Amino acid sequence: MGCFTELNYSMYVDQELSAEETRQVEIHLAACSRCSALVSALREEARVLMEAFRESEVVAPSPSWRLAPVWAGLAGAAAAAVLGVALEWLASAPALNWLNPFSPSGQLNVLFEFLFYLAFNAADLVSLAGTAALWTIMFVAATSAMALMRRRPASSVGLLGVVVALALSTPAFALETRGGFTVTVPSAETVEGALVATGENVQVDGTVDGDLIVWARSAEIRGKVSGDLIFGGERAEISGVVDGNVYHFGRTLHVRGNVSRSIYGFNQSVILEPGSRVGADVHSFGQSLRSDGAVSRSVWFYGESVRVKGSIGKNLLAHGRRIELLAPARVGGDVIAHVLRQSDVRIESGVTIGGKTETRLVPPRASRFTRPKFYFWVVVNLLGAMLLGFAALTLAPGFFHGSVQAVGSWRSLGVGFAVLVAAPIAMIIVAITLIGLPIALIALALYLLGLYAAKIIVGAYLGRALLKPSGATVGGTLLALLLGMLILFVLFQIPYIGRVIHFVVFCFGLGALSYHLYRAVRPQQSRPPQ
Amino acid sequence: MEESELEAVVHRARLGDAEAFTELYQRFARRVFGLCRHMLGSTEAAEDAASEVFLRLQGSMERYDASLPFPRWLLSVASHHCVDLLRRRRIESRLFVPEALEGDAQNAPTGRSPLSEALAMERREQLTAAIERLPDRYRAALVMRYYGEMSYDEIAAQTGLKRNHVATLIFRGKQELRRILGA
Repeated sequence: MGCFTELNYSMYVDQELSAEETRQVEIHLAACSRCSALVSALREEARVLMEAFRESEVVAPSPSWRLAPVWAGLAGAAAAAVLGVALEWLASAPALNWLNPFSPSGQLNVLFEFLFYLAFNAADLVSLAGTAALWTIMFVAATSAMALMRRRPASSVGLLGVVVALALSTPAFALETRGGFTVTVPSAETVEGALVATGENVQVDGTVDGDLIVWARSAEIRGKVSGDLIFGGERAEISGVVDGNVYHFGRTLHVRGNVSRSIYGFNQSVILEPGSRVGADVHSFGQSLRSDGAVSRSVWFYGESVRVKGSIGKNLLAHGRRIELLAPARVGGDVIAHVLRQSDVRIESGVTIGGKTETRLVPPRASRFTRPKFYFWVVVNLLGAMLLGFAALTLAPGFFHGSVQAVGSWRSLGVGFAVLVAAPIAMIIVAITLIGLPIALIALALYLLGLYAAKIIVGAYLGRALLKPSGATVGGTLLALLLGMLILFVLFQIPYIGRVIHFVVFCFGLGALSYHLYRAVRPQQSRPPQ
Repeated sequence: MEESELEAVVHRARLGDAEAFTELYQRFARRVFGLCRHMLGSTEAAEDAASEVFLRLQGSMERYDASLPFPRWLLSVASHHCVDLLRRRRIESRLFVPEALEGDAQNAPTGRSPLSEALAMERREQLTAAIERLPDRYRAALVMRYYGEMSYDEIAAQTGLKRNHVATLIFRGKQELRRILGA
């Protein structure tokens, strides 16, 4: 008999020939030294291959391999802590305060710079965000529809109905919108209904017979707005009349004219010029309030400094560091000042106060670490995390472990960031269509739950990387989770940097969860073997 | 873990015991990951694939019939999943194009020295690199055979190929390896 092919010998070595074929090969091998040598070489080859695979298994990522980034993370956290202390020191030197991006005025500056940027690029950004959110919604809807169609064709009809209804429904309210570098409502013009104006500068000399929503660097209202004014941007000046409330998000609000109802300012400063009039209250949350005009009812101030020279019909309630009432100020009701020191309040002699004057000293806030309440909430937080972790491990261990494993990839950070940003925008878009409101609320609840679970997933990942539990029990996993949560918790306490860490943890956790959830619900292309 | 102990864990997992799943995961995650890593060629894809295998394990556990040892069954499930993924990467879904069974397979033993001669310990890394450079179909077949220790019939079942095609793939895979290594 002649020699067999090398393929035959390869099968022989793999013990994949039939009994009869094996017998024939063995008879030949006994007689042919060349083939016999080939077979032992092939056998050696198979052994080497098996070993090579086994060896590279050892090289495969193992917990110890993953430990490096964890230690790097801890080193980073330590560096962050040092930076945090440095920033604390910076914060205590008032002259350098503007350097510190985390001081109240530094934060305001960052916020305003961001707002200016938004204001300057408002139209582009709004449409970009809108498009991104719309795509997110369509993607989610399409994926769910596909998944359902594959699994339960009947229920997909209903879902498709919802999708179509969502797509066709129009926003619940209609608005006139105007954009451009300068948006003007000339003095002769009357805009019927609400107006949304975006641009560098918005000037209203005419009349807006409804609400005016402005997103711009600056706005001047010299004409009349019969509804509310909602302003986002840098500077707004009202020398005309606003019949409704004014909501101001920005740097400064100047009022020279009339506001028939209240002012709500979330800004750096509110200035009520002499001759200005506010029909109801002023609520100011910001750095400073200067009131030389007339406020019919009360003034609430939360910020740094308030200076009143005009009149206030009812009370002045101020929380701040500097509270001044200068003559000829007149307050119809009480003046209640919450300050750190008695000397922070200054009331000139010519000031008239109808009610009582009270200075309440705010005790300097003790460190929260000294309060038992703080530790109570730490324990409650940890218990909650352990409970949710236990529930996840019991109900869906595969999902839990899979998600925890997915935390280690940079993709999670990217996906998480996208979900973190796009989901709220998508929810808002869904919510403004009438039919979408319940869906948006459910999505919001899921989003919040996801944020909570994100920390747990990242905590479990950290704990697992450090402890490398080999016990393979629920108890071991929970112990790792506890350790991870404790580490995270300590990291979150680092001044300033803790917030950044919190954000990154949200991204990683949410990304891992979303990606894993997507894979769990996406249609299965083929079934595992029977 | 003893054989009987593993059997008990598998039994508990089939009944839906979460702790048992955790144990299986801890015990086999690395092997499954290793298989996926070899089949798919990238760590990230392998992590995804491995976690998906365990994710789906809860559903597929009831189909485990205990005629195969559990590790081999699990690795065959994992390789099935990887073959799927490899197929999806291609424009057409045919990962395993029919190979001509004639040609060199019918030849007498070639004069080429088999792989093992070139595989002194210091060349192991080159071998690992060469395995990664193999075309998907060869690499998948070799991984299933020499890492998953699956029989030709089991590989045939996972890939939908005939048994003799599997034999050819494995054989050609080894030849290709030798070629890459310049043996």
